Amino acid sequence: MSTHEGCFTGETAPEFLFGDLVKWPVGNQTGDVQRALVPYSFCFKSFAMPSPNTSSTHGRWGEMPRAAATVLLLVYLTGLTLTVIGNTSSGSALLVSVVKGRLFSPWMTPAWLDLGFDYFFTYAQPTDAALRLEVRPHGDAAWQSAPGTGATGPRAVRWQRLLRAMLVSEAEPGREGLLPAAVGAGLFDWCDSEDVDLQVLVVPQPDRQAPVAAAGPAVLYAARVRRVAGGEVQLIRTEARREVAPVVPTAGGTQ
Amino acid sequence: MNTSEQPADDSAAPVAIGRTWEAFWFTPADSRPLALVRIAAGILGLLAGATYAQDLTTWFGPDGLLPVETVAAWRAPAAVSLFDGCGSTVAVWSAFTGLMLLFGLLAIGLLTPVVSVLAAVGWVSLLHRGPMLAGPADDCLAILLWCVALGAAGEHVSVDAWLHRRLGWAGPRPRVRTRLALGLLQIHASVIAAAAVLAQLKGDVWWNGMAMWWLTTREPGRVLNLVEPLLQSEYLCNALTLGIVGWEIVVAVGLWFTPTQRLVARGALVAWPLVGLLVAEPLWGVVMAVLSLPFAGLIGRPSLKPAG
Repeated sequence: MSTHEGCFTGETAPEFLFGDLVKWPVGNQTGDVQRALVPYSFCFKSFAMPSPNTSSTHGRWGEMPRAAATVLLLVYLTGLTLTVIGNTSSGSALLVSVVKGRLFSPWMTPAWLDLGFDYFFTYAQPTDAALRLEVRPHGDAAWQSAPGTGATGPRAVRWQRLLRAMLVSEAEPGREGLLPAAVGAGLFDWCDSEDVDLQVLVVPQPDRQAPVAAAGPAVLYAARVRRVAGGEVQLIRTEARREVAPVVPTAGGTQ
Repeated sequence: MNTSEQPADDSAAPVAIGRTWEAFWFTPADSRPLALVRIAAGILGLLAGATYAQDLTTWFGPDGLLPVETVAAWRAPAAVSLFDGCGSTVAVWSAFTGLMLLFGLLAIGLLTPVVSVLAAVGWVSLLHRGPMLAGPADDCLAILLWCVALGAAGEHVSVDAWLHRRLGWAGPRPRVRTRLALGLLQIHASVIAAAAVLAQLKGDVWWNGMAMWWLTTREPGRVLNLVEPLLQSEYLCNALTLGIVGWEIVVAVGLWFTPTQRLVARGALVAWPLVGLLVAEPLWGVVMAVLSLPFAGLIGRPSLKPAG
């Protein structure tokens, strides 16, 4: 609500001002309107009335917009809390996940707000170390470093995220094999072959207590990707050979 | 039974909470602090976008490593991206160039109300096109952009403001939606720091003070090479690791108290970029500093008190 103030002075028939509605000071006297030219000095002070509706006035919001905004804010803040405590990659209670997924993900995900903000940066796990992607036409002996290997700075970090996602998503239901198959198929032209082997290696980080004894790169994931009849891309994961116990002959034969 | 009406007790908790809520969210606020955020968000958008440029076709091109079908199956079902419709290299580059142009317009403040919304939509579209490539800086930049789109970010230090003055149009004034944007920035600045602390303290290396060693010995993206100093002194390694955790706690809490808010926000302008350098996420460090920028009192004031 704002006020306006001002003064007029001059001579006029008073009815030209406000008829008989107004009494105003003339000189030092205050009296009724007289029907003659009179000197006047008229001061006023008006008050802008608050708007009866709910629209904003002078930058402030009315009750209805405030109430609506309050509801939206409460819903948003609830969703924000659930995305933090129910972040998928940090683990969460089933109840929290379901509530978040059903009520909040459909509208927070498109706006890229469905985040857990769990920026741990490192747990010193193998997937947090430097990763490398190698590829070769199937059957070749020599591995080649894939595109992005020589990248530096933030660009290198994006390649690292891609490789980490390839590894981590292998343990996520519904995502297994998706990225390795796509990346392998994307490298067909680069390898000049539609049947390639790819592997993701980790470069172990040196322990602070023994900084010169770091081991060489180790394979964390390996697969063969090829295009088969009908244009489908087939992923054949290469399982690492495992140590097995020798078969021990028994008295009655072998088992 | 006493039927006489008692005056409302102004000190009652619900009344106090209601007043605080009203003052926090609905007091019209000066948009100058948000103008700084807008400029920074535009520049950061250009920088973050540049990290996509060199590999854009390799990732998102017609024969790229991340075809639309694969990404659509990989990401959340509700996610959508305008880049999904870019089926050719030319289309991908056109959309990307358009987004960079929007960031440029956002930084100079031309057609801000429209450009800020388009920039936010464009950025989240790029992120949804390859969510496995996105990192902390990208997430937090999306939040900055939505807050800029919500508030009146183009009323100061902008081409829009200059045009308004030239044309004699209405000048800037405090607005509630600016206050909403600033409030959301404050909440996210605090929540992100708190969530990072919670996540870090789930790992042994953040408790035993060795996280800094593992961060600095990881070469890709590393900005500072501290291997030698950290080898020399385990105390330094511990101090840096625990210092990062401590700083995140300070931000999560300190932004909410009047005596500490400005001090913490000003400290954030220096400390967050340093943390970003140490954890090999320099852009993230800068984005976190920008989240706190309006509360540093450098220009205007995101006051909770009514102007009158």
